[in-house]
Amino acid sequence: MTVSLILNDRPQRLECSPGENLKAALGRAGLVSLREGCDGEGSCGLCAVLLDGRLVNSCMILAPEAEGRKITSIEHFNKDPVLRTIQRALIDASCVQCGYCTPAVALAIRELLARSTQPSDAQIADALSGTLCRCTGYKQFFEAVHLASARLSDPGYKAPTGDEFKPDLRHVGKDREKVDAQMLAQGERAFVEDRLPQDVCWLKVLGSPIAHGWIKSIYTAEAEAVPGVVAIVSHLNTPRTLYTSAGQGFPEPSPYDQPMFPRKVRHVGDRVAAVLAESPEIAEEALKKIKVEYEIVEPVVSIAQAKTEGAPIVHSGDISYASGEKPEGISVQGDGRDDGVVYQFSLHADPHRNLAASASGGIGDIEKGLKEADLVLERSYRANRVQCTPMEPHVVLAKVESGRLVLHASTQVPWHVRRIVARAVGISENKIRVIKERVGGGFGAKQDLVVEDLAGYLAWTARKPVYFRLSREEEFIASRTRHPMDIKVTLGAKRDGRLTAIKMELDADTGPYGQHCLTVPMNAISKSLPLMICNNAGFQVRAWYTNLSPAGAYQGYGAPQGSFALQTALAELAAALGIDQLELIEKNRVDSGTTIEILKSLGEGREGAPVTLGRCGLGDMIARGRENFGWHSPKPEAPGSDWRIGRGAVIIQQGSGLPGLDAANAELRLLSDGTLLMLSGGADLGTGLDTVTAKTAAEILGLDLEDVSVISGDTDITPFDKGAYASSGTFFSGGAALRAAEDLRRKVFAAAAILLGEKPENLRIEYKGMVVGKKGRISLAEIGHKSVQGDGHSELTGFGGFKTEHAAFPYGAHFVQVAVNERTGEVKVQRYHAYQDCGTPINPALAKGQIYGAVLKSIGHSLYEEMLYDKQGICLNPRFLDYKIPMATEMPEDLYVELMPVEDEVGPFGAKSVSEISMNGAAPAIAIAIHDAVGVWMREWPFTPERILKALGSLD
Amino acid sequence: MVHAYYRPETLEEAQMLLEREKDARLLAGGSYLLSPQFRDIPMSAIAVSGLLPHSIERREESLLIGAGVRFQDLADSALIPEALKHAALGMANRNVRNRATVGGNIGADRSCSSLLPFFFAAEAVYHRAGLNPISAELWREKPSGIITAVELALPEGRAFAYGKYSRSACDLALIGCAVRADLGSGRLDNLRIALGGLSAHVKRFPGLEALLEGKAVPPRAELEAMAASCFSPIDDLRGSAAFKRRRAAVLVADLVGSLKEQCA
Repeated sequence: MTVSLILNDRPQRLECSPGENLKAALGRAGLVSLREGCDGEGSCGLCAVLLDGRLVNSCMILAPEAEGRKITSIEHFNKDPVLRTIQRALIDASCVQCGYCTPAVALAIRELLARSTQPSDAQIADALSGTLCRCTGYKQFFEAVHLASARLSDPGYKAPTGDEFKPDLRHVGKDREKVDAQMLAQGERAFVEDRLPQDVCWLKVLGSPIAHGWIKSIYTAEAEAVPGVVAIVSHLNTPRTLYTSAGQGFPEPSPYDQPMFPRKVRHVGDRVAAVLAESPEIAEEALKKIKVEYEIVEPVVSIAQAKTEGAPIVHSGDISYASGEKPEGISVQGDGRDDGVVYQFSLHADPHRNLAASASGGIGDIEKGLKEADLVLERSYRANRVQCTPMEPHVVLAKVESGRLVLHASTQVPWHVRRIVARAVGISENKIRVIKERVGGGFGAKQDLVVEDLAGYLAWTARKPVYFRLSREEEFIASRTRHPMDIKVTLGAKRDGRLTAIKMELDADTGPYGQHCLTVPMNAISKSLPLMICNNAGFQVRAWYTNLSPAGAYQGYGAPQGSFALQTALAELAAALGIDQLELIEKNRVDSGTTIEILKSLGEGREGAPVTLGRCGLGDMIARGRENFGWHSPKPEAPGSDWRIGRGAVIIQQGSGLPGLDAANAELRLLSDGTLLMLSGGADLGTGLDTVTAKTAAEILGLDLEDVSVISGDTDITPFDKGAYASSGTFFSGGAALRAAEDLRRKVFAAAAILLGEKPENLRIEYKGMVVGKKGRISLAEIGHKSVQGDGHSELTGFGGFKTEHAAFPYGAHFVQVAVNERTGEVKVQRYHAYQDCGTPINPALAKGQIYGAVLKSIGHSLYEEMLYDKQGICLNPRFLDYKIPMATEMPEDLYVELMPVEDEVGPFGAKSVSEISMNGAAPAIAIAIHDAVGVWMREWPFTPERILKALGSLD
Repeated sequence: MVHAYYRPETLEEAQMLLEREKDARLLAGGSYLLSPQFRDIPMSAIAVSGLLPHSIERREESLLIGAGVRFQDLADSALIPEALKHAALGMANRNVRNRATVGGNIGADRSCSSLLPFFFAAEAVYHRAGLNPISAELWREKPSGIITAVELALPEGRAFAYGKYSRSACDLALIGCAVRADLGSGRLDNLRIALGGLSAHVKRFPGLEALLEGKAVPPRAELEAMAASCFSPIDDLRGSAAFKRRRAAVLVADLVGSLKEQCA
């Protein structure tokens, strides 16, 4: 049928079917800005348009309903000065991170400002209440609205300058526009979904309906007969090569325990078969016609069950080792039926007992330390499974061009994707190109290959362009989740609070496959234990296979779970000793010059080594927090007679990449007009990494940011980079960019020295783009121009490689105030203060945005986010309807971030990492505050009202 | 899955289509009918939002709310009692409130409904196209006809309260509760209590109403215990039966208590 409407002020006729939703019809009409994050559930708001001026979800409206209506989308910005002002405000307030939600947010603000020119924060929260954003924590959206409002009423309005650092530098330490912000705010083509060719084929997977069982037979003939089906694959006709989906450096500390399709399914949603078809509808129709017979095996649905003698075995194939000796005393002979498991080196595993990996270590003598203690405290803590929920699910477009496989990927690890896809498909790396598109949220989930291997294989074998995007439900159950952990903490202390022993015993649930099975649990230890100095400290870590959804990397990478356990235990210890919690921390924490001995037993995939800290800013952060947060000030009045106010504080840490394991590279070219092209291997997943590398180049070569263009994460064009994980972006990729810029500067000086007749050591760079010596000056443009002439000195290119043995730890102190309702168990986070050291903040507002986002995510994890399963291993809440993530309305009224830089000796311009560390504070701080409010210790998160009432004894 | 779309010119035509098409459904805002749970259910959509009244009319002792009124308009209207505004604002978020209609919420008849607890407690009367008005509860038992408006009696001295429990601010109502009473005597006269989230549909609790009818508001703990004894929810992913029972009882006690405050 035909629908006539006004689209962005132009009459338009849309051809649509009666049941087609408006989003799809508008997409066919050429709008690219309408995104999708909830599969038409209406809970994400990313497909929003203005319908007769009102913000609505276009996925929840039938296209015929738009007859005669006026529709406005973000594409209308060039004719709508208000919309343009809003976009500019969003950019200037540093709101644009991954950008997947930005057009929807802009429209929500457009509707708001139409009805209220100077809205209150409550009105802003309400206006944004229908738009999910997982990156920003919403805080800066509020600032953007106020900025847009001020500019609309006074076009000459000047916004106050944000915090600035490094006064000797032009760009570094100052807020500059994120290099991709404008493109994303205008809803331009930027994501994988925007790259589909006309002849694209759609890939859909038949996921297992059972959590554990053998595939006895698969019948596909009827499905193959569906017109438009291109190929159907399963374990019967795909390679049996084993690999890991973990995007880690080779050799990975993760077992190779999955082929493309398993013979035995190990979780609900595991791959059984896949259909490639000419349309998604055909693919779905064919999926329904595939008949599968299963032999059901009892599923393993908890850590406790996995550990039990005689429990069902998740992996029962042959166990082998690519290098090193096999550990003694473990079973390696498989049942002859299951696929095998190959370890690249020993992870002290015993898969036939469901043990995927283990490790232990320590310093001193824990038993002696416990004997010396005046008080020994032993507590157990539990962190449950949560979902990363990037708004853009895992997605890839794979195609064959000129005999090579090209992957347009939404990934954090382009080079690891290339290497692992090469192994999975059975071709060499030179035959593969990976192009990282803009990533609509990664958060660790996109460190793993969830879609690229299969799409790559089908594109290569069927010679068709293949589009593979997970549904939201698949994203929940079949992508990657945070490892659930049970952590027992034993502390020994003297009466004055001095620690004599710390022991952490950790059991983690890696799910059906072992990606990150050792490193995530180890990180729970290595980013919590080293905060406390104790001569007798030790740990034991065990990761268990279960039949629940796969675990993997998630922002924080285990550190939030470890931090929750240890920081809460320390607070419990302080309470038991009658000591102020912060005083106990002060007595035992790391400080400037401390040698952290425990790190020698906490190497990641290799031997560790003790680290002696340079300057540590923790003391300043705690002091600043005490004062500014008002740690000792009287508590405010509770919001009602049932409510109690409580406060908590914690110290946190993270790392900055993996010293000695990872590497990054960058190349910087001087173009003929004196501008620069940065070729960075770094994978910007919305964090602003491309802006960091651009700033680095502009700073060193004395240019403006507009003079630098960045191409990043393209395995054909840009040099190798380990990828965006382990908080390595600014430190490693930024470090490589700095070295490339310094290399180019050296070459520029060499060229200029000849042109000016000066010694290179007498030359310096002056803004803007001038090389100045004692005798004269010459512009970069002139040098660049001469470099490409026949009589010139050849194109000038700087190259920088970054690797280091230096460990750069960012630290932080988080303070929280909560209100707890004793009758209902509800918790409101009223105030949250984060005092953090990220070394030199390269772009302060973007750094703060990272912290706001991580804090709000971790508040969600602390209060209500939890994947729930039944006894058969079926996830009960694989959608946003029943898995709630924080919205603008959940933001604490007082969410405050203060950057307190302590420059690093090695990081670019003194920078360290910023994002992941901010995930580590909320859970323990809120648990401690709940105790302060109502006197109960919450040892399992999330702290749901039901759990709190049970802890209070109000509920059986 | 909508396979046919009709845009009738009149409500009579809509009624005729409803009777003629086996799988016909009335489509108002679409917030429920176009949700994923219906994606595989074939249906013919009969678009009625353009035919339903969008007005809110204050009469002497009553209020007439058009079935086509959207939630956000309800929340923004100066004519609407605060408790009903509160209920309307309980619907998900602004994007959905801009689209969802009063009629659609009634037709969806969900246990998590934002409006039905209020309508049940208020003993609302539904006006129907070509049929006599019918009480909200009776219509729920035997839905018939196209609802065009909701009439609420608002005599002098009548007080309402609404509250919900949800996991986060923009969540659906895991428990939604509305109470009503006439407070002229200082006691709870004509008390009505309706809750959603404790069973498959929103319903009133006449047993609890009877326990409290004509009495002064009892102490909170006593009221909570009385309420809890009347509820029999089930365990599900949204909470255990024990938790839901307690949470609902707290809600009832708080809302009935707030009626007392309105009286004061």
